[in-house]
Amino acid sequence: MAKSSKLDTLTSELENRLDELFREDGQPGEPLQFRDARSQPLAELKKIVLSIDWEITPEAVESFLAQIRLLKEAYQADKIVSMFLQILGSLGQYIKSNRSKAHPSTFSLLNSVFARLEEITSFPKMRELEKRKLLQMEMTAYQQLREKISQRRAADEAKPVPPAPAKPPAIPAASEVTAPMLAQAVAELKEFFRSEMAALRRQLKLKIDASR
Amino acid sequence: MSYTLDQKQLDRIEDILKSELIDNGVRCVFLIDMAGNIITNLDNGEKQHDIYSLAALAAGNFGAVSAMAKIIGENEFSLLFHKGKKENIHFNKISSEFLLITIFGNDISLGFLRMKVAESVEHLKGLLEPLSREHL
Amino acid sequence: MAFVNLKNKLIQVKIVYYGPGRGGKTTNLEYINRKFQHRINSEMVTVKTHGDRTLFFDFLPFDVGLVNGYQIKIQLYTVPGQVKYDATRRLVLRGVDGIVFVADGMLVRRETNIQSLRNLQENLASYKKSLRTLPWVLQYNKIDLKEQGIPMMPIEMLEQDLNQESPRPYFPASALEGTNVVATLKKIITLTIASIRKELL
Repeated sequence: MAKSSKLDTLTSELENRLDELFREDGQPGEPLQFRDARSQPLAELKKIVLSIDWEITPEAVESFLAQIRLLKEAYQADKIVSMFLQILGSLGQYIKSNRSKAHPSTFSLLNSVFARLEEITSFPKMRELEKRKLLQMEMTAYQQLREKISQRRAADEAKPVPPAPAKPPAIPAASEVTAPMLAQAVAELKEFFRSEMAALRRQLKLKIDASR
Repeated sequence: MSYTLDQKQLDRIEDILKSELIDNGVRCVFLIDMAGNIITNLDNGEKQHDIYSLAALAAGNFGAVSAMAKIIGENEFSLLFHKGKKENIHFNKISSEFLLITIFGNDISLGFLRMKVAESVEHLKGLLEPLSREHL
Repeated sequence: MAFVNLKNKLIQVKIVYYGPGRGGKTTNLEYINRKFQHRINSEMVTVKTHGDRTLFFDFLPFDVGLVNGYQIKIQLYTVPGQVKYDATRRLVLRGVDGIVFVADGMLVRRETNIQSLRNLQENLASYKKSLRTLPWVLQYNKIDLKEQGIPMMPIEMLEQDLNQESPRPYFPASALEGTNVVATLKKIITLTIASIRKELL
């Protein structure tokens, strides 16, 4: 009798304990949120990219750059994603500095780099080779844009200075400041890509050698 | 009653539209008044549209949409834009009397176009505002 | 409001055909379109309902040619006549330089003509314009129906109803058959250009 009543107590205590345990896990809490964020890590960035497509406001560009900074931290370990974020950050900086003087192709490149990044992060099982291929495509496009920008700048410098408009626009003359900034950013980016690509190649070679 | 623009004014307007819009990839731009008259039009040489019909319809369209805005309690809409599969069209009021219509492909983002149009409008306002005031 | 382009030596004026629904405004433009293909570089624009009634407007740009060193381009518009499209009529009247009032000659349409003219005056007033100062002419349409035995209004009645205050030129016409369509157009163009002749000199 005493034993069975002890058992009852144990059972009821256990049941209570289990109730509490499962009630805690069942509540929406930090871990669940984190899981959500992991399944849609680029959701916030996507919203900003879409809004920039419709309207380029200084606030949107700042949000974009802030979000890129956040994501860079989150993806520190992923070299390829980091490189994509580097390109996006560089484009964002260029838009911030140049605004309406930015090359029109900047925005389509921004969209395509983001689209590739989204692809990569949505399919974690994607092969390394495939990811590198996508990255290479965007890097080439980025290089081409950079060339278009320098060609345009060279053409503008060759033109005679037009007469000042009646009401000059309130846009800062950022082009002289931006050129060295952009060149430096691109040089750093290039060096970064070179070293990472070399590291990836070494890793791949090691894997192939090991499998033989 | 009528209004006039001389060579110098029209040249200046065309310069602005060419350097800000056509040179940045816009296919076609035309500046019209609310009656549907064409002040000037420029294109990138690729396609020729029936601009007189476009101008009449654009003025009518803009007028109709403005009237709708008033009915729903808005002073005006900040965006009037029609998206096609390949070609898109954007309307922007310059003053109470003038409209800037741009036709562009999908190689230009709407956000960028709106930025360039806003800039062009700032330049053009100074040239066109005196006309609007005269003929109110 | 007429626009004079000194760079291209071009004058653009806007003439609107106004009047009650089914009165013959669109028919006028269709006739002009057929008759003057060589002066018309584009298709006539019509925005119609499924029932073939004008919904928004009809539009026809018409090149008069060189006058005093200037190319004259006339933009012809019609308005939708149905009562419910008043807001649209007001839109189309914006910047108008000359008007053709197309009255329906049938006796049963007497009251509709009067109301339509009143409506025109109200809509012009919203732009601070008036029939007292704008060039305009009247067209008394559908004279062809008389032969079919349909009761038509005599000219005196139409004149009394519609053309009392400082009488304007009028044209008994048949838009369907083309009678006096061209004469109406010529007159309104002449009056409209005359009203902006300062710019031509």
